Amino acid sequence: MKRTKLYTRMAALLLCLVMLGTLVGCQTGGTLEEKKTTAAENEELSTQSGEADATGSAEESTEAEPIVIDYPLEGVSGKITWFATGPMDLSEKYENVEDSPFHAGLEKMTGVDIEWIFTPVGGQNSLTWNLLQQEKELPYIVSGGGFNFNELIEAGKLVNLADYLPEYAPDYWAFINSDENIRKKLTTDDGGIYYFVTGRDERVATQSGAAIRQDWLDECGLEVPTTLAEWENVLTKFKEKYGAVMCGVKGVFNQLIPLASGTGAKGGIGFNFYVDEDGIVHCPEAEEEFFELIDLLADWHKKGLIDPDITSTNGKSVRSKALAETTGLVIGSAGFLNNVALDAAEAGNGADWVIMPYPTEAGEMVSYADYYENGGYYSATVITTSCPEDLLIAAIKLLNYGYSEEGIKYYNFGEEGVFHYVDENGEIQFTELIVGSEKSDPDFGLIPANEDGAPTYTTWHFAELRYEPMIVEALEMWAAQSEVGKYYMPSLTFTADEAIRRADLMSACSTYMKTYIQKVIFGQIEANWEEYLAELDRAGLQEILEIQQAVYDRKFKD
Amino acid sequence: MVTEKKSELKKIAEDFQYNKWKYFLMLPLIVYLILFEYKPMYGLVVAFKRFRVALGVDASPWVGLQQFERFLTDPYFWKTLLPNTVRINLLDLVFSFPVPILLAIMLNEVRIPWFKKTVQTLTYLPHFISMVVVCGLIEAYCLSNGMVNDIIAFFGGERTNLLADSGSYLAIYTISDVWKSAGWGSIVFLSALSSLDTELYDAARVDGAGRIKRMRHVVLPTLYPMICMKIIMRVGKLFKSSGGKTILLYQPLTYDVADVIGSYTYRMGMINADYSYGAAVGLFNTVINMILVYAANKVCKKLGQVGIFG
Repeated sequence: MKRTKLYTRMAALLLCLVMLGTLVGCQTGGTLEEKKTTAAENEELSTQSGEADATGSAEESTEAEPIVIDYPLEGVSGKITWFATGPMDLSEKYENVEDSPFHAGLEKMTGVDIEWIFTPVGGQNSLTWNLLQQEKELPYIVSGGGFNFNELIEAGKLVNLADYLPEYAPDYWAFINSDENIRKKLTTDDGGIYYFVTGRDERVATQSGAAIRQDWLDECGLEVPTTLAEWENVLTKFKEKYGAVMCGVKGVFNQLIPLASGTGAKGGIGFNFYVDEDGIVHCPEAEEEFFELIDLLADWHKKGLIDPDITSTNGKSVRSKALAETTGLVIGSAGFLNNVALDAAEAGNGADWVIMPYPTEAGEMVSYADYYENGGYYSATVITTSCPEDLLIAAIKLLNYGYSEEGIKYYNFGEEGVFHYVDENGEIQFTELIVGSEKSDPDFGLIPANEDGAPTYTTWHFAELRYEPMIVEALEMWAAQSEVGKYYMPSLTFTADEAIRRADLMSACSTYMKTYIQKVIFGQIEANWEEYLAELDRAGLQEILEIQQAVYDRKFKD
Repeated sequence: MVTEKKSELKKIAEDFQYNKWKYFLMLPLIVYLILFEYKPMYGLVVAFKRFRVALGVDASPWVGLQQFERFLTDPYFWKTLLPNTVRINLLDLVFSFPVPILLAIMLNEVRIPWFKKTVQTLTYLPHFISMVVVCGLIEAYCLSNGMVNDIIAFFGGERTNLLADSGSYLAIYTISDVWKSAGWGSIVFLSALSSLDTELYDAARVDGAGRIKRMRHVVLPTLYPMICMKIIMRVGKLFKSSGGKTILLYQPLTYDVADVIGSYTYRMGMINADYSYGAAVGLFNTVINMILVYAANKVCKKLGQVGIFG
């Protein structure tokens, strides 16, 4: 009797401990622990190193114009913490950041000791960022997209770089001054500049379009269509002869790319407000050209030229439709169109997919409201006020590196011999580490210039190496047709009340608009544009336009 | 006989002496509840603030009921979101709730062990498939060249994109819910039935009750308490909507029936990372759900069953 009681007690205690043990497992990740110790280290080091960096900067400022920063930097004592996400994130291939050629190389090239902080594998950037914000000290440098940088500016937690850039980041300063609009777009209402943004060659702005089967065109005796009328003609013939319809990836079709340019509409169902040459804010979905487009598409649907599944199909389903030869014209991103062509080549069914130009009325230039030129950004790199005084200059120079000639080459192509080599013609080519081989897959993610978010400039040569020939051809074709950024609406800083009001109205308006437009296209309701506009006004469209106009004027009309 | 009125605390202290190991067993769970369920309740204050991550919960400014005003004065909320949410949850209650019970009762009657085990396993496997994967499959099957349309065409119907139609959307949503949750839900009922005293069956048979009568008078009453409890909990979800499945399946063409509170709040969040708005909506829903749970509990007790609390 006593024995069993003892066993029961021991079993209960053991179970207890096991359950407590699982609770203990719910602690914060290793990187944060790391961060605590480095913060402590940094405090120690910065108190010791007082003037060390000041001598470095004194040297630069005595130089005559133009200012050139010498890399690697000298005399930087102390580590700069950098929370790097997006393209600067550590590849899963490498367990330690010391093994990553790019990160280790960057420290060597710039002469700065960097304490990297990454999101744990399988974790989410936003969650890690939320946790980091709860700490006493933020990382000195943060790079990525989807973060609440506006909030941080409001709270005074980001360093205003405006005064520092000309002297300590001359290459970046030159870049943002290369076009008056870029600096305007990056400057806040009170003259502050907070972001290092990724610059890019103009040709990388367009991303999606359409492709068509050249072999079918030849059989029907038709040319590649360039206007919407010609599109309709081709689609009708395809339907007659092959029973084929126009298919598309739902995300791209829903934005009415590339169809919108056919009537001169500035955008699809995205509420991408644009600004015209006179600085007036417009809503593309409330204009005549847009109505023309929708009426045309509704007509096409009635004639059975559009795939009824087009609002539901993703890339994979359209590719299978293409292989099943139920379509001769597809819409999607450049990468997707390339995949369709590759599928056909592999299947050997004789389909010859070629990129189509954007449809336009009589050779006009295309300009979508959401093409962003330099100055627009989804991701950025910032310096927080947690960065101590003596390391601030070093941090700015560190971030400037990516915009210098040497830095651009490094961010785009890596170190010579590691990520790239120079071939017989003197051209830069990627090594197997990047482009892959029979044994390994390509891994362009190792190059930060691959995505928006690194403090550098993405060159056209990188795109040429990065993308398949068909994609490069597409980007060049569409860029030649487009006036990138002509109508682009820069990001505006709203006051808290304006932001809330605008968000409420936008949700209501966009829900109504999307539903109405799709129902009209697919014949569920008859289009009545006066009623549509009246309803949009009732939902608050005019008020949104007024708010945006006021904020735009505040920033640009002075 | 004199009955002493002992204080609750004294009772617990006495019980502790006899059963202290059981209390220790509960300890981790209590700690977990306090840390992860009760302590975060403090965060509900953000529903009355304009929450800014950079400032943290405490330093964010108070705005009183402004967040609640935002959605309670929104006509779209009353005309579309609320009815849609309630409708989808009601459909769930009406179609998805009885199925596990029926399944359990039927499985209980099966006398061939391998058949019973196989059916059980096959029915509760869908529970483990991720919702994202299931929705991907649904999308593929409902395309006009998909499997479901193949079946429709075979019977002479017309091929359409089923997910683009408001009517069929609700059917698809409900049916896939039934398919996914029926098996798993039946487990708890089956276990209740397995503890049924066989003597009751024998007694009923002796009294001349056939299969159906036995089901009605022996099996079902055993399940009543459990059914009542489950209904109370389901009713407590009537206004709840996380919107996850909705976001995966809906599109603008079906917004008028598919758009629920959760999915709309998600779209709002995309424009202006609005945690406070989401918190306010959630709090509003929770309060209503609590009232409903309380009411359902009262009704259950009136019907003679044991309620969840009170």
